Amino acid sequence: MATAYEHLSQQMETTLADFNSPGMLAVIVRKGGNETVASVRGVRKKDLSSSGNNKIHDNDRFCLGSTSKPVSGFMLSYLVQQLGSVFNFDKKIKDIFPELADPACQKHFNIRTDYLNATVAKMMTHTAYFPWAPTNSMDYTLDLAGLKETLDADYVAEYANLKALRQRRYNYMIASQQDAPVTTFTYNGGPILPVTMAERITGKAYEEMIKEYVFNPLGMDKAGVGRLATNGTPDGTWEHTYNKDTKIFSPATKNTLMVYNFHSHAPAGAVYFTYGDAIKFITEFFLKNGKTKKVVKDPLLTDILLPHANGFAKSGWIAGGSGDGAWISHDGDNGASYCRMTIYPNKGEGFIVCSNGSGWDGTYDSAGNGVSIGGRIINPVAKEINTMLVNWKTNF
Amino acid sequence: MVNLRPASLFLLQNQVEVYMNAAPNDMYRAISYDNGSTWNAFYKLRIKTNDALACAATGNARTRYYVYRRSDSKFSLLKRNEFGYDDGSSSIMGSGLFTSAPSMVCTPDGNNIFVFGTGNDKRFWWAISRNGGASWQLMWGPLGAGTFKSAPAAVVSDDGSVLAIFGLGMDNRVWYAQSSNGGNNWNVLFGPITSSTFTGPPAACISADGKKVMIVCRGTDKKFYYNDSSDKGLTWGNFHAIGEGVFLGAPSICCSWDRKYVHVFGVGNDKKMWRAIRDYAGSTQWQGWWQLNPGMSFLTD
Repeated sequence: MATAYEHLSQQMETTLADFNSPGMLAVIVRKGGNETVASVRGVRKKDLSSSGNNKIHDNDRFCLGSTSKPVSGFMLSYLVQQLGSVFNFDKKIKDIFPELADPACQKHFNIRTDYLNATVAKMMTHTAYFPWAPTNSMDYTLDLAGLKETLDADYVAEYANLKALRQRRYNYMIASQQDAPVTTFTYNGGPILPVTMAERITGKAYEEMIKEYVFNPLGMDKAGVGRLATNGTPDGTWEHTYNKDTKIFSPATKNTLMVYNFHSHAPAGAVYFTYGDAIKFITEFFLKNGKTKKVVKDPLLTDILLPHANGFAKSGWIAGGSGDGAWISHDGDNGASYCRMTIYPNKGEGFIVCSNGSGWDGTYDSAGNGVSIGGRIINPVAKEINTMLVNWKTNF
Repeated sequence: MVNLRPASLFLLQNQVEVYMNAAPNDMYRAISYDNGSTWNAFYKLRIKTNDALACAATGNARTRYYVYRRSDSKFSLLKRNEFGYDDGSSSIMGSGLFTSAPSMVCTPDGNNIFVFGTGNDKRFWWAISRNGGASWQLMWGPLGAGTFKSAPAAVVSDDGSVLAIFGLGMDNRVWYAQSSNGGNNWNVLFGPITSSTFTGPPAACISADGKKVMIVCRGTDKKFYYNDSSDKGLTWGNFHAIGEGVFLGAPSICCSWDRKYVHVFGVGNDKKMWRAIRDYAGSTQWQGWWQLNPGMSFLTD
C-alpha cells in the first residue's frame, strides 16, 4: 500500500505529465496540524533540464495569486484586533482618508463620492461596488517598470523602495474611485484599498506589515511578497505563462525582475509560500486543536471565517458549510501561477495546491469566463486530496 | 552653461519632486514622499536640456507633463506616466523659437495645458491645449506687448479660471498679467509689482481656488524674496526676504498636495539644493533653509 506521500506525489506527477506543466506544490494538514504530508514535483523553469538544480526544491516558493487576499485579510484582522476603534471592519474610506471628503480634493483628484462610505468589510467581501479593476489602476506600470529595469538603474532606484510603493497604493486608491460603481456583484482587488488604509494608519508598507504581523509570529521564515526567483540559473521557482495555441508553458521573465517586489497589487496577488510556510499558516486556522493562536485570537478568529456577504468572509476567504463541514477556501490565478487553499477549521484539516504555470486555456466556462489552465491543473490534485482526507484511515 | 533654476511640483499624498540639471543635458530628480521632510537621492532622467524644466501633473498623479527648450530653441512636450519616466520620445511644439526656458501649467484633469515662453522678440508667447496636449487650440500666439528679460512663470487655478503670468521686465521689475476666465480676457496685461528689482525669472504658485497667489524672485543681493496676493493675483503687497540664504540661480516654488504649505527651492552658493517651507494657510513665517541630499552638486558648466 502506498503511503499518503507516495499517493499524493503520484497524482501530482500524473497531472504534470497530462498538462506538460512545469511544477507543483501540494500540502495536506490533518489532525489539527499534528500530521502533514507535503510534496513538490516538477521543475523550476520549464525550458531547462528536468534534472539537477532545476528540480523544484523543498524550500522553493510558490505564488498564491489571489489567494494572497485572505492572507492580507488575516493581517488586516490582526490590525482590527490590535487597533479596535482606530481600524476595524466598519471603517470607511473617508474615515481613514479624510482629505477625500473635501469637495476641493475630490475635484482635484477627479474622484467620485460613491465610494467614500465603503467599509473594510464591504471591500473585503467585494460588495462595495468597485469594478474588477480601475480603468486608471496603473496596471501597466509593472510591465513598464520591468521593461525599464532592464534599461535604467536609476529608474529602478526611484521605483523600488517602500515609500514609492506606498505612494503607488495611494494612487491606486484614488484611481479606484474614478470609475462608476458596478451594479451587480463583481469580484475585484478586495484588500488593496483596506491595506492602503492600514498603511496610512501604521505608516508601514504592506510588505513590512505582513512580515511583522503574520509571517514572523507564525515562524513563516521563507514566506514573502514578490518574485519567486531572480535569474536564469535558476535560483528558485519561475512562474510560467501559457500559450493556448501551442499549449506550451513559457518562463515569465518579468516576474523575476526586482520591480516585482514593489507591486501595488501585491496584497491581492503577490504573496508566496514554501510548503513549510503553508503548513504553519493553515494550522493557525484550526479552531479546535487546543493550540494558542499567535496572530488573531478567538472570538475574532471565528468571526472572520464566517460567511459575511455573497459567501465571502470579512477576512477575504470564501466560506461555507457548517459544523465539521465548515470550510474556507480561495483560488488564486495571476496568469502565471495558480493556487488553491482550502481549510476545514473545525475539523482541523486543510490543504494547498500550487502550480507555477497558468494562463487562459482558450476556452470559456458556462458563465462566459475564460478557463484557466492553472485551475485545470490544480483540480485533479485537489479533488484527490479531498478523497484522501475522507478515506484516510482506510487507505493510509 | 546650466540654468541654475530648479523645477518642482507636488503630487498627491505628500509627494514633492524637484528637478535640476547637474551639468549640461544632465537632468536629475529627487522625490520626497513626506512633504519634504526626507528625500530620495537625485536620480538621473533622460530629459536633455541645458535650461530649466517646466513640469506639471494631473490631480490623480497619473500623468506628468514636461516642457523643455531644445538646443534648437524650440520647445518639446513630454507626457509621461505616473513615474515620469522619460523614454526619450517627445513632441516638438511647433516652429516657435524661444530665448528662455518654458513655463507650463495644467488643470488637475489634465485637459487644459498652457505653455509660455519668451520669444526672440522678448515678448511672451503662449500655447493652449484643451485636450491634454493631443491638439492645440493656439500655438503660438503673443501675449500682450510687454517685453521681458526672463522666462515666464505661470499659475492656474484648479478650475482653470484664474490664470496669471509673471516675468522679469526690461527694467528688472516683476511684471504680471492676470485673467479670471482662463485667458479669454485679461484684467491686467501687464503691470509692475512694486518698484523692487530682481535678477532672474520669478517663480509662482497658487491655491486650489485661485484666491491666493505667491511669487518668489531672486534679489540683487542673491536672496530670495516673496510676495503674496490674496485676490487672485490682482493686487500685490511688498516683497520680503525668505531668510538669509543666498543663491546662484533663480527659485522654484510649489505648493504641498493639500495646499497647506509652499516649498521654495534654490541652488545655494555651495551649488547644493536648498529648500524652505511656509504655511500657506495664514502664517507668513518661513522655515529653512535646509539642504537636500548634500552629496549632489549642481555645476555651472
